[in-house]
Formats: sequence, C-alpha cells, structure tokens
Amino acid sequence: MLNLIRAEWKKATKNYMLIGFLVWSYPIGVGMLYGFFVLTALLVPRMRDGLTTMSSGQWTSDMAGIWGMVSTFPGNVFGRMLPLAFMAVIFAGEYQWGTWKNLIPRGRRISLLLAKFITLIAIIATSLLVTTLIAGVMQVIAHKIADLPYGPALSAEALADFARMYIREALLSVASLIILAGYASLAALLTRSILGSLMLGLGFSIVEPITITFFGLLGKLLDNNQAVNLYRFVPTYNIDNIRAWLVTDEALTGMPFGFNAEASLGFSAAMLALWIVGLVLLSAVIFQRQDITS
Amino acid sequence: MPDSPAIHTDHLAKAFGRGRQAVQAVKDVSLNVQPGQVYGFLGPNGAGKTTTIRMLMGLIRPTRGEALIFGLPVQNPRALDRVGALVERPAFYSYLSARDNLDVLARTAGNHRSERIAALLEQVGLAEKAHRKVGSYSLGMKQRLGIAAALLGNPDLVILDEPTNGLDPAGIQEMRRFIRSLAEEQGKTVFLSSHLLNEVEQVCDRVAIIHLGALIREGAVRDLLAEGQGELRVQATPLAQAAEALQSRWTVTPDGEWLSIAARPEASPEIVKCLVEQGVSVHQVIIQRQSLEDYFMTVTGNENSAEASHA
Repeated sequence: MLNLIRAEWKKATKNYMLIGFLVWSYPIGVGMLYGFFVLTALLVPRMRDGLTTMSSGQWTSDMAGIWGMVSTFPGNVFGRMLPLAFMAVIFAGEYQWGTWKNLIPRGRRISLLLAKFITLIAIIATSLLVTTLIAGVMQVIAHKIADLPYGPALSAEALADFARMYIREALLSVASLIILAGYASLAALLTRSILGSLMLGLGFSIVEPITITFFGLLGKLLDNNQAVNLYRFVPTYNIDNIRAWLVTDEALTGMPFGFNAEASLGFSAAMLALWIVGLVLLSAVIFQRQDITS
Repeated sequence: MPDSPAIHTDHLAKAFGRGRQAVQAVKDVSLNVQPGQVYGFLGPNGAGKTTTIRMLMGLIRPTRGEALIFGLPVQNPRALDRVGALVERPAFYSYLSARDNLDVLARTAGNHRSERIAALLEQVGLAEKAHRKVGSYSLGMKQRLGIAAALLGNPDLVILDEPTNGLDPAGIQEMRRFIRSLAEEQGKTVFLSSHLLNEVEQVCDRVAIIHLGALIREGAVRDLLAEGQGELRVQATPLAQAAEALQSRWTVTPDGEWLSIAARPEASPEIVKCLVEQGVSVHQVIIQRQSLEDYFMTVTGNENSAEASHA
C-alpha cells in the first residue's frame, strides 16, 4: 500500500498546474491576501485599523478556524469546490487518460482506489495545515503592525487548549474531505470523465449541505413538521453537531425551517462513520465490477 | 504449475449492454498458448482482439467462459504478476517524464527498481529522452515506452496489442526482431495481436484468427498456409494444348502467356510430366505460395459468406 500511495503522490504532486491551482492556492492565496494587507498597512498608516478585521483576536481560533473552510456550513459549500475539482481530476483522470489499463493489472482495484483516497486527503490536509501556519504567522505580524494584543499568551494551558481545538477541527475537516472524496469518486466512476465528475461531484457537494431547505419545503408541502429533521442524516449536519457537542457539550441548535432533532454525539459520530464507510465501499464495489474499456 | 499453458481460454465471450441493445464483442474464443511461443492473434479491426486482451488482463469481466494465465484465473491477483501488456494505444501521464511514468507503474506493481527502469529505457532507445515529458513524445516513442512498461516486471508472458502502430519502417523491423528475441533469447511467451498479416506471418509460430468475435482458425502458421490450395504458374507452348491437357484434373486459368493452376506445390512434377507426355514444351514452372494474407482473406471471406447466408 505504501508503494501505491507513493505512486499516487508522485502522479498528483508532479501535475504542477493541477496542484498549483487547486491545492496550493489555499496557502498561496491566504499568504498573498495577508501579504497585501500587511504591505498596504505599512505603506498607508491609516489602513492599519482594518488590518485585523479578519481576525478573531486570538491566534488559536484564527489558525484552527482555517480548517472550517471545508467543513463548516455554509462556508463549506464554496470552500470545498477547489478540493473537489482536484479530486475529480485524480479519480476521473485515469479514465480520461486511459491509464487504468496500466494500473489495474498491477494492483488490486480496491487498493488502487484506497490509495487515491488516502493520498488525496493527505495532500489537501497538508495544504490546509500549511495554510493555518501562514494565517497564524501573518496575523501575528498584522497585530504587531496594528499594535493590537493577540492572545492568548503562550502557556502550557493555552497550548493544550489550542491542540484540542486544532485537532478537533482538523479531524472534522478530514472527515468532511473523505466524504467529499467519496462524492468525487462516485461521480468519476459513473461519468468516466473529468468534467462529468466535476459537475456531478459539485452537484452532490452543493446539494448535500442545503438539503435542509429541501426537507423544510417538503415538510411544508406535506404538512409534516418532522420532515425537516431528516437533515440529521446528512453529513454536514453531523459534522456541525459533533463540533457543537465538543465545544458546548450540547447539540447543535438554531437551525432554520424548525429543525429540532438535537441528535446525540454518538448518533452523529455513527452517522458520519456510516457515510464514510458507505461511500468508500460503494465506490469500491462499483469499481470492482466495472469494465475498463478506455 | 510448470506445465500450464501461458494462456488458456475456454469459450470466452463478452457482450456489452443488455437485452436487445447488447453488442456481442466476443462470441466464443478458446485458446491455448504454450510457454515460449510467439502467438499471433489475428483479425480485422473490430474483430474482438482488444476485448479478448482486456479480458485476459482483468480489465473486462467475461460474460461467459473463463481465462487462465499460467493456470490461474485472471481474477486471481497473482495471475497477472507474470504478465506484462501493451493494450491498444499506449496511454501515459503526459505531464510526467518517461522515467517517472515507469516509476509510477513499478511502484503500483510493488516492484520498484531504478536500475531496471534505466535498463529498459536504454533497451527501447529512450534513455536520452527519459527526462522529457511524455506529452511531447511522438506516437512511436510512446509505443516504445509502452513496450518498456510491459516489460517492467520482467514478465513471463508479454501481451502486445498492435505494437507496431505508429512506428516507422525501421522501427517496425526492429520491433519484429525484438519480439522474436523475447521468445528465443529470453524464453518469454509473446501474445501478439495484430491486423497486419505479414507482421504475424514473419514473427509468429502459431496464429489464431478471430473474426466477428469468434475464433475461426487456429494452428501453426506453416500448417495454416499448407492448408490453403496455393497456385502453380506454368509457361508452356502451345498454351492451348497445355490447358487442354491439364484441365481434366486441375482448375486451369489462362493468364497471357501463362497458365494459372490451382494446385499444391507437390503437384508440380506430375503437371510437368503430364504436359511433356502430351508433347507440350514447358519453359517455366513457378510455385506461388499462399501468403497469410491470402489465407486470411479466404477464411474470413468464407465466414462472411456463411454469416450472410445464415442471416
């Protein structure tokens, strides 16, 4: 498996255009954005007040919050588009380039597919990790220039809190990315083209978090106020609900359309695991039975 | 299993689609390819050659029948460990160099060795251009890289699907020598799919002819050619008397100063004797051997006729 992952890593990371635009655009984009603000503030002193508007005032939250781009609704609707495009190319590229025929006789199909999942997640997670570091450093510089405090002060307790928050957000984002990769792989298996995979994957990815609207309207249509609670089976809700439980020790509240399911932490964790295993398994079963004709 | 055939297929069939929409790409292919042979798989475009190869490589699931590689079903992951293949046109990652492409394939197979990759690139004449992106390669260069990829795992069985596509005449000659050397010097079994009849005739020990998805002939190239009638051409005077002397026993067709006689080469002494006994002067006798192309046209023509009359 290690060899398969190394092969996938090479294929993905040596496609410079692809990885440059769709993966490294996060750290590069964040670095350039902050760099622009810092430079402007240095050149134009009255711009310094606006320098820290993107900050929560705490480096711990600023850094950990970056992970939320791909896991927190509604930001994730757009935040997941670039990773999804990357995933679509990785999964569907093999069909479009006709390269499955070289790979399948050399490895088990399930292993080939799993190696793609693992490599994709590792690459995107690395990119987000680098982005959090850049965001943290740039915010420290911005706060220094603006002469504003930027806490919390470094202490064992602050670092432990930060580690908990950071790992929680990273794990939730990784779970969200695996589900996204599941959508991308299914779309690639069904369409066998990069564009088709991208369009269908985007469809899955956009529709999934906003199904609350659909369930809400369905409830109104059927005059059934419980219909909206079907949203508790959707990954995005469960990720947000797990976060709510871990942060506030309570279920997620304040949802629109009268959603009041208040799923338990165990339910959400099980539901998330079910989605992850289900999507990967479904992809594996389809792939195992598929004729490779290109 | 040392005695197992390199390839054994038993009534292999593949239909794409279902019900009335189904397209029967391969109807019935039973093959036995013994180790060490260069085996030709001959058929016109669309005959079902590539579909059969894809079934042998585990890329397509047969609708019916089974395929064994060295005695193991192709579904067994170990079966394909001993196989290297170039299936249809070569396909690589255009943004990677030739070396990186081979590196990726070797790692995928779990047998990565840099020195093996370097040796293969040298062998196929791509060593100096190995660092260039494959996207800039000509079809011929990609074909060479495809051969290198097929040989990456030092396989016992090499399956080559139209390997001379895109090669220039010198490259084609080189490829033919290379294919023979795989069998003669390295003891490999080569399964060569082609629609080029003279390629198969020059390179292969045995040949199977597939037409409209079904195997219609199989045997040693020499035997198949001998199976055909062949032709003798005779220049004699007077020509009309010669034709009269022979037409009671053979089919004779006048062709200018010559007579074309549908007969096996072994019949030539008898023909000459017959003509001399009739007082005919025999100037020349030419044995026109049937080429594989003639044989192929004959058998596929017969099959087409049978198909048409059946319809």
